[in-house]
Amino acid sequence: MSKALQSEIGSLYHDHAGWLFGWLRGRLGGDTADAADLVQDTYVRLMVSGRYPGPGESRAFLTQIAKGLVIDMHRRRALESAYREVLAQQPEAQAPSSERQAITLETLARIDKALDALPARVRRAFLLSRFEGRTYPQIAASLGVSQSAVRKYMLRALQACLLTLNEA
Amino acid sequence: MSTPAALRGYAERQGVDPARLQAALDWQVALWAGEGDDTAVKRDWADWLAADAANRRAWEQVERMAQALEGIAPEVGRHTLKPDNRISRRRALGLLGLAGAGVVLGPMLASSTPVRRTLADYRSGVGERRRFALPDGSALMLNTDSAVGLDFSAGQRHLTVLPGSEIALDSRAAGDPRPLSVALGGARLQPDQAHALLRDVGGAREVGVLAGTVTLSPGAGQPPQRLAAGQRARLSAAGVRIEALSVAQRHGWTEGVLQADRLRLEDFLAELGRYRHGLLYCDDQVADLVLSGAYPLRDTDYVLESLVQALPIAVHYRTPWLVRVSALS
Repeated sequence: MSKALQSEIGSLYHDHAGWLFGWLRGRLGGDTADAADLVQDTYVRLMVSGRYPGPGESRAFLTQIAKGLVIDMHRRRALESAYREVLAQQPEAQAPSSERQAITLETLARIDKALDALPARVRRAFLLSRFEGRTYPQIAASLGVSQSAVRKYMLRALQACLLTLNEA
Repeated sequence: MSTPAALRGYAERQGVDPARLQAALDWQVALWAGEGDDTAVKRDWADWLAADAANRRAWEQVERMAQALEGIAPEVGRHTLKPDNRISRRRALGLLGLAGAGVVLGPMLASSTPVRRTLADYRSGVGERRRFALPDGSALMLNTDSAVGLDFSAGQRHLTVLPGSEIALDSRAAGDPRPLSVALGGARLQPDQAHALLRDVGGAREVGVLAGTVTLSPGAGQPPQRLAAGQRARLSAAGVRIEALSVAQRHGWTEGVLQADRLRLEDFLAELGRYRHGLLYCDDQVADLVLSGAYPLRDTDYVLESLVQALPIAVHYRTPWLVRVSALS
C-alpha cells in the first residue's frame, strides 16, 4: 500500500471512526462490542476494496459498507444458531473440531451469500441437488420446469458459488 | 451462453481462460446430474481434461469450489440453508430501519485480490522450486505454483503472498533500514532479521519462524502476536493457534522433501498433488490410511510407486495426470 493511501485511511479513521461507532451502536441496540468490531471490519473492507470516498462522501460511504456488514452479521448469527442445533442433535463423539466448525460456518455463510442474489427457483434447484441428493429429472418434476432449465439454474448457482467460495 | 462479466473478471484474476472456466462449470453441472449411467459423460469430461493443460487449470478452480461444497454434510446444509431466505434478510433490514428503502448493497464488496497472480513479480510453476534474491538482499524461495508481489518504495519494503502460495523468506542478510512487511491473506507480518516459512494453501494460512522473530497481525480485530524462532502460527476464522515448529516442518519442502508425520492418505495426496499437474485423488475406503516418512519431491510418480510398496493400495493412471488411488483389490 502506498504512503498516500495509508495516510488517507489514517485520516478517514481519525475523522470518522468515533462517529461510525456511535452510528453502529445506535443501529445495534446499544451493543458496544459488536459496534466496535464492525467499525474495524468496515475499515478493513475499505482497505481491501481499494476504493475510497470522494470529498464530502466519507460518512455515506462508510455507512454503506457498515450496513452491509450489519446484515452479514445477523445472517451469520442465524446460520450459526441453525448449525448449533444440528450439532446438538449429533452424538458428542462425532462433533467436529472447533477449527472444522469455523470452516463449515464460513463456507455456509458464503454459500448463503451466493444464493441470496439468485432467483428462488435457482436456489431451490441448487439445494435439492446438493443437499437433498435429488437428480435433475427429479428436480425438474418438483419445480415443474424442463431438465434443461434445471441445468441452467445449476449453472447460475455454480457461477455464484465459484465467486464467493473461492475468493476472499 | 456468453460468459458473465463477473465470471470473466474472476477468470482473469485467477489467470485462467474464461471460456474454459465456463466449460469447466458446464462439466460440473453435467457430472452432478445424477441420471443413471454417466460413464459416457465422465469419459468425455476426462478427454476434455486431457486435451489441454489450460482446461485442467480451469477445472481446478471448479474443483476447489466443489470441495468446499462437499465439505458441508447434507443434513447441515438442509438445516441451515433455507430455500427462501428472504425472511431473514427482511428481518435484518428491519433491524437496520431500512426495510423497504430499496437499499442497494455496494457492489464493491464483491471485489477482491487486487493483485493478479499472473502479473506477480515472482512466480514458480507447478512442481518447481525457485530462489530469488530481492533488491534489499533478502532471499526468497518459492515452493510449487506460488506467486509473490513486490512493492519496494522510498519508505517501505512490502511483499504480498498470493493465495495458493508457499514461500520461505530470509531477510537476515538484508541490511536495509526501510521497514519490511508481508501480506498473507488478511494478515500482516513484520519479520525482524528473520527466516520464515509462509503458506496460504487451500484457505489455511501458516507462519513458521526458523530464525529471528516475526510480528504477526492477524487482522479482523485480533491483537498482534510476536512469534519467536521455533514457533509456528496457524490462522483460521477461529483465531490463531501457536505451536512448536516440528523437525519435519523445519526440514520440509525447502529441502525438496515432503514430510509426512502420521498424515492421512487423502491429506498426503492433496499435498503431493500440489507438485503435479492434473488430478490426484483417492477413494473414500483408503482416505483414512495413515502414513509417515520423508518423500523426495522431484519425482512424484516415484513417491506414488513407493506408497504402493508401503500401503494396501493401487494407483491407477487414467492418463499421466488423472490419477486415482484405490484399495488393493
